[in-house]
Amino acid sequence: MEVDELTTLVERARQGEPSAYDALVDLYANRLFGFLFRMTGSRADAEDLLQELFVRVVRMLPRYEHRGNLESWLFRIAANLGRDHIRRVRRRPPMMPLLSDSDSEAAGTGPRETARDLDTPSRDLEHQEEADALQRGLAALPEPEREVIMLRHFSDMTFAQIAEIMGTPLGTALARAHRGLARLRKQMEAPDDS
Amino acid sequence: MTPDERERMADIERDEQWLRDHAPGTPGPGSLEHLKLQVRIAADESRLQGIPTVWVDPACVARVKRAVRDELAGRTAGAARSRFRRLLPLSIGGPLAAAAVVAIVVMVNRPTGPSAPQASYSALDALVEFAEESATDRADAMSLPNLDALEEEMLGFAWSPAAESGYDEAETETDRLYEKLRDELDSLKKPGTIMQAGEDYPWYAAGTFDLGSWSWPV
Repeated sequence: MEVDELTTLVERARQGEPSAYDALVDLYANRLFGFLFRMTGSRADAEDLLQELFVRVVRMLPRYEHRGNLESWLFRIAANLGRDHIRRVRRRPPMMPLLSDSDSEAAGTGPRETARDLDTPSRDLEHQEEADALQRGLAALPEPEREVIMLRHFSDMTFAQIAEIMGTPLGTALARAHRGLARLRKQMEAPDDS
Repeated sequence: MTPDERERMADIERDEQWLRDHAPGTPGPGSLEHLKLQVRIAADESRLQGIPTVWVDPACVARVKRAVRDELAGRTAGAARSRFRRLLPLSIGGPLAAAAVVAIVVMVNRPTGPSAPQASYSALDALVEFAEESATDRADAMSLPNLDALEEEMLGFAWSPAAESGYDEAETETDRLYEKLRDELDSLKKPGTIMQAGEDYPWYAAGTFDLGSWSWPV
């Protein structure tokens, strides 16, 4: 969506026009849900949080100052909601299987997951093992590093946007991504003890 | 290290050499350090390719849109609620204000007849419910000093870690107030402790608590 179109949409929503909010939901629901789903590990929780997020948007949008950073603002709210949720449940969110049947069926399939060649059973198995290792690695990451990787890969954010969302300098976001990915690599390369 | 890994490391080293020759050495965006990090990140990011994107259920999207419309429709009611809250000259959260209401209603309507205690306790139950609702809506009801920081943060005006920490503190403080309120409401339910609760809220005794035209629908 063009910047001008988005500005107009935000202005219409600010005036309380329901169709403008519908358009915002259509525009951002998928990516926000994907982020919340990976953060909480629960489809039901992510759905509840997504609803809460947009209700908050209704309450706060009249006072929101649009400077072309709506996306960062929305993900900032999503990250806060996700963190609050994790604090409330007082547990580490269980990571959803990255390639499980239920994930693929219930969550839908997109171009990113069909990008790899999965046409032979051996490739499929290899990919599944790699995804399992990745899943374990992601689950073991410290929260800030995991959050950067989630925002980057499941929400298609730039590092500048991630830095804005997390309230850190750009260098910190980059360093977290680098540390997180390095840790991930180390964990994935480590021999499986189980 | 596998041959692939070796090749990737060689690529990284080549890229970093190029950066050392060309990138500005000053700190900040576009600096050598940032670019080096980006090169290394890009090399590791390939591992994350192929992770499924999850899609939101259309039924959930429909629910979200409905909730948004409900919220838009309820704005007027919400504004009225906010006006009521502004009537409370308190510097503490809404849950404690509810406790004060409990004390006032109980003191004003102290039961006298044989069947009166039952009626009074029902009113208390309703007030407990009100207090609980108030606590869940605490972001609106709180007037803690760091609520401003929270609101600024949520509005996107402030992105600082300090605002974040203010938000955490507000959450913790609200939880603490809420827990305290629950204990106090429990004690209010026990006969003989009502006046004690009144004494615990001297601002009420001093007449600074103004309910305005509001009355609890008992």
